[in-house]
Amino acid sequence: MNQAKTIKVILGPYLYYDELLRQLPDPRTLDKGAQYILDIEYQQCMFINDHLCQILVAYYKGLKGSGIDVTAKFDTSINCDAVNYAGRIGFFDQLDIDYSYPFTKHDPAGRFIPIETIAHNGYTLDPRLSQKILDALGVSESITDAVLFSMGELVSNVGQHSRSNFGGVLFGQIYPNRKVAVFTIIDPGVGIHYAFQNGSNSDYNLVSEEEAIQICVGKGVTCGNGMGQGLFLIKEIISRNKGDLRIVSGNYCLSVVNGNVNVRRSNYWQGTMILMEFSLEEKVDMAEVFNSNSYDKVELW
Amino acid sequence: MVVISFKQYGTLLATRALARDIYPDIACKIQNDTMVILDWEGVQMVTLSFSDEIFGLLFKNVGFTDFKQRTHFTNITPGISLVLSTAISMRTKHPLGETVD
Repeated sequence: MNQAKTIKVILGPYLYYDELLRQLPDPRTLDKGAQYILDIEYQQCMFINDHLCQILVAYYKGLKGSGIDVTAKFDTSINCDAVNYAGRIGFFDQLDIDYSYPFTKHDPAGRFIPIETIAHNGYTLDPRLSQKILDALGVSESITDAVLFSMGELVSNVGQHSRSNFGGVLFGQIYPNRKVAVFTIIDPGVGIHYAFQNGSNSDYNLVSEEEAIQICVGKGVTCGNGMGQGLFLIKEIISRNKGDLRIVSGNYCLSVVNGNVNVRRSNYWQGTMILMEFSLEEKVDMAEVFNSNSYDKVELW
Repeated sequence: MVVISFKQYGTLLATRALARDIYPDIACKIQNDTMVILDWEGVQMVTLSFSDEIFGLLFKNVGFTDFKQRTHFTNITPGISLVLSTAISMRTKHPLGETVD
């Protein structure tokens, strides 16, 4: 029997997502006939970044979905709040790691949405999910429509564009001290550049990888099997909310901060990661978002 | 008169795949000359893609006048109303395609 190969990941307390990506081998370079161990070493029992946990889950599930024999490993005997938190958000469950919860699992409403899997065919969306989002948001009704619309568009994109072998991974967290809600959807699919290159809309078949991520938030820009409005409207919504948007795909990262779009190189992610940070203090008027961008409406009633 | 409750399909109606499954039933009912009540109670939000795949196509296939005469929207939130009417408007500007590409 062949010895399993190890993918070693060191999860430090203040690791930035880009540094985690640097540690993850491009899945296309892995040997499909080999066994792999995704060995996650957690250093310093202070803090664990839930977004990094979500990335690891998406990576692990993407490998498994592509037929790679992979087992995740994490020393869950470490008894500290950070590891317990990782357990509560579903990190170990999603990685198929046995973990005995040293506590009573409380309802996460008002704090976070545990790491959830979105079906690969984009068909089913757990009806409880939107309620979980609302519960997590608590009383911030002024951004409810904006958040649900944005989440829905991203879920739709996973099914429609990602060609991911299992779907995507969703996570949401409320940070009361910063007064923000952060939602992330990560898929290990083909990525934005490939979708443009191989889409039925020939206008964008020849764009570079950098151009692809630059234009993906443009109005009416589509690879061919969509309306080209989803990411554009999310960008508009988040800009009005004074929140942040970050899209990582392939070797590039697009960020929208205070309405300003910036593209830079990033460590490689096979697929697409989208992070939306909403301010809980800035109301978003959806009618204003649509009206100011010259969307016509028909009178239905 | 028939009532179609969208809550049975979920509370956040997001994908074209879901819409494609729902469309034949709604289209059949509307084309049977019965008044169709489209009940949105319990639905929290829809996406443009979902809306286009059902209502954009209905407008295109049934026609604006017949659609309005045969349907009544109830319990719809301002947010859902906004997305639906925008999706339909976009579809009417792209009348030939099966989807708005």
